[in-house]
Amino acid sequence: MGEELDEELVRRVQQGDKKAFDSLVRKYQYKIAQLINRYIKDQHEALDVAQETFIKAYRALPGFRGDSAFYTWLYRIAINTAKNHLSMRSRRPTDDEIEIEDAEQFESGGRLRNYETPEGVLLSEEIAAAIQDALVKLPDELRTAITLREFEGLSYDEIAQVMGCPVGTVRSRIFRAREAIDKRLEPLIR
Amino acid sequence: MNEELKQDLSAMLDDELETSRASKVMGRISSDREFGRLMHRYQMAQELMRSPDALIPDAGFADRVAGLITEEPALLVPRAAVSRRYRDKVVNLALAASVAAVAIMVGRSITTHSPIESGEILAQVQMQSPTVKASMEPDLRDYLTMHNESSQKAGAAGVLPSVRLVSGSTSR
Repeated sequence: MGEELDEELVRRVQQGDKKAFDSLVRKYQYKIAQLINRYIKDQHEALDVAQETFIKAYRALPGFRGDSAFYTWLYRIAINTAKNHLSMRSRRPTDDEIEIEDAEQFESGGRLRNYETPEGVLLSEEIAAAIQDALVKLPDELRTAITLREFEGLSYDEIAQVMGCPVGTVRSRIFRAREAIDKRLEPLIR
Repeated sequence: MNEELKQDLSAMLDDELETSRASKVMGRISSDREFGRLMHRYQMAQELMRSPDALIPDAGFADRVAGLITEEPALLVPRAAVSRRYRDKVVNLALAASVAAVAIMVGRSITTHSPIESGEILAQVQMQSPTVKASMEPDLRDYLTMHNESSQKAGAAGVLPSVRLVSGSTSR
């Protein structure tokens, strides 16, 4: 379903709808930021390169024929943009940074170093702590549903089988878990 | 904010929402800043649950990119150059629809000239399929074989074997 939505959005962008590209940016900004952060550890630099990635992707869209999924095409642009950025700065990837093959098998997870300002570090830690606290306080069925989704990567169908409930119930539980977490997050982000 | 829409947003982030509804959600995100901020928080929570050290784009990241895109020329790709995968899907659907349409037309033509009920004709057509023969219950197979013998007289022989029985039951 995600790929079909991407295909539709790409078609619309290719027909002049820039808002459709905004939708693609909002959908993939986190994934692209994580991917680039594996090459470029400085947060601000990584976000600049992420921004450049999306601009390059927009300009290259007339040439996108759908031979691959949009997100794999976008990931390739991100990796190339990050590597070009490092080349221009005459930096070689260190042993801590991953090779392109690893990046193409990219899964979120794994600890990344972060060079934010002290205030930024404090806020990030506060946000992470708020999320963990909200998770612990969730009712069992909501915590189970969101854990199976976010930590185990199960589909709604699979979660329904594990929990012995309809898919609609899974959907509702995951949504309610997110709502509870969001109640803790919103005051911190505003 | 509409609860159903928020729930759709949650499902969309998991790629568990039908494309038509996901399109509506994305459209709302573009037009409603509050809804866009909600998506941002949901995504942030997702990433931080998976990796506490994850790099989190700030809330204005997408807006900055959108601002830069407004300075770019609008794209206009000729329709013939659209996604090959999308085109293949459309072609396959069109082919399937054509086969179904021909089968229905042939079925109707036979019905017009034959005293045999169209349901039986479809059953006879189904009988031609080796896949169906292998999976059919013995009683149904015998029943259809008996009727198949009369199909030659009715002029229904040679009807396309690929037509599906769109409704039916093995009970008599």
